[in-house]
Amino acid sequence: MGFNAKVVVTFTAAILLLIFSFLLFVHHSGYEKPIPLYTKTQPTIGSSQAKVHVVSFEDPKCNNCIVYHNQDYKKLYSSYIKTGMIRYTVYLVGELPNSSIICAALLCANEQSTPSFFQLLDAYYKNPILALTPETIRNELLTIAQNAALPIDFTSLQRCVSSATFDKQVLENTNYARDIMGGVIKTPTVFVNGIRLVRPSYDQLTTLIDIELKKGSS
Amino acid sequence: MKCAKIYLYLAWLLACIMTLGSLYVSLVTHREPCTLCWYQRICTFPLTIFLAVALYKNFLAVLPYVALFPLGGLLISSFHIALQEIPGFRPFKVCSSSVSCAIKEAIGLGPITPPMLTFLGSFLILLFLVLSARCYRRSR
Repeated sequence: MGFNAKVVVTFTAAILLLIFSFLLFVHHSGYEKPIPLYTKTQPTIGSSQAKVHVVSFEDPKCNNCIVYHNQDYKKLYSSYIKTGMIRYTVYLVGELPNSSIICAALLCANEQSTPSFFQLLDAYYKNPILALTPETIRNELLTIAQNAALPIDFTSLQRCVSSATFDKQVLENTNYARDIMGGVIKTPTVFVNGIRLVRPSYDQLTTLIDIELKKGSS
Repeated sequence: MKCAKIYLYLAWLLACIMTLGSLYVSLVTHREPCTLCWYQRICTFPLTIFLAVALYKNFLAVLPYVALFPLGGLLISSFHIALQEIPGFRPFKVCSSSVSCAIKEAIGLGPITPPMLTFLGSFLILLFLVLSARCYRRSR
């Protein structure tokens, strides 16, 4: 029996396209059910009266988080957070190598004041650290904080960064993220009033925020 | 001739899986590919067309030229892996600052990163193409 290449190629291509279309359809249809999130100890900005709470799980060393923060978060900040329409929480997770060190250091800024945390986060994402040893990472982050001229006590920040003050919280954050994401951490994952969006585009994110805002006002 | 076609079919199938997998990751998980990832895609995506045409038209003489694509994928992915795995290895600047090539992306496969998958896929495609070319030469 010969190998009929035309038939086999056509059949295989059809099967592959069918599977691909099915997977795209499954992952693009509808929103998931909202889940309650524990955000009490996490850095949060925006109006406490806001009807919509956006929670973003980010790994500071993930490429998509860098792009998300530098582009989408910036737009969200000026259109929704600053205007008091939403409350925004950042959940730092340390899944990628060395990112837990950065998370712990960033949370040190939050210990002093939440706006400083967000300022430092902005400065970090503008100039992400590629260093590979814990010591150089900590030093680079302190340099970023110094250059950003944050209104914080730098000596306390230095002390906090070099100690393991927030290591436990980062570990807890990471385990929590793994639990609610079904074992595999995907970042950035954004929850809008508990509804999950995995690596959403700005349009997807604002569409859901607008839906939730409408629900809140009706 | 039959074994040449079967190996070519396997190479095409692998190229299709790599292409669709890469598109799936982009479309569903909204990952931004880095510069080196784009170069690796350039070495993979055209294979789905070229190899399908070669199979359809029974035009197996094209194999040595098509093999340059997985060879390119193999070299670029090796460089990408080295960039991610060897501390301080950055012989020249290839990536934009917004999406770094040196940062490892977790794709739910443990320590396996996208360039590692490209390396494996390109290697297998190259292997199938070589085997296909050998069968083709023997059959002539």
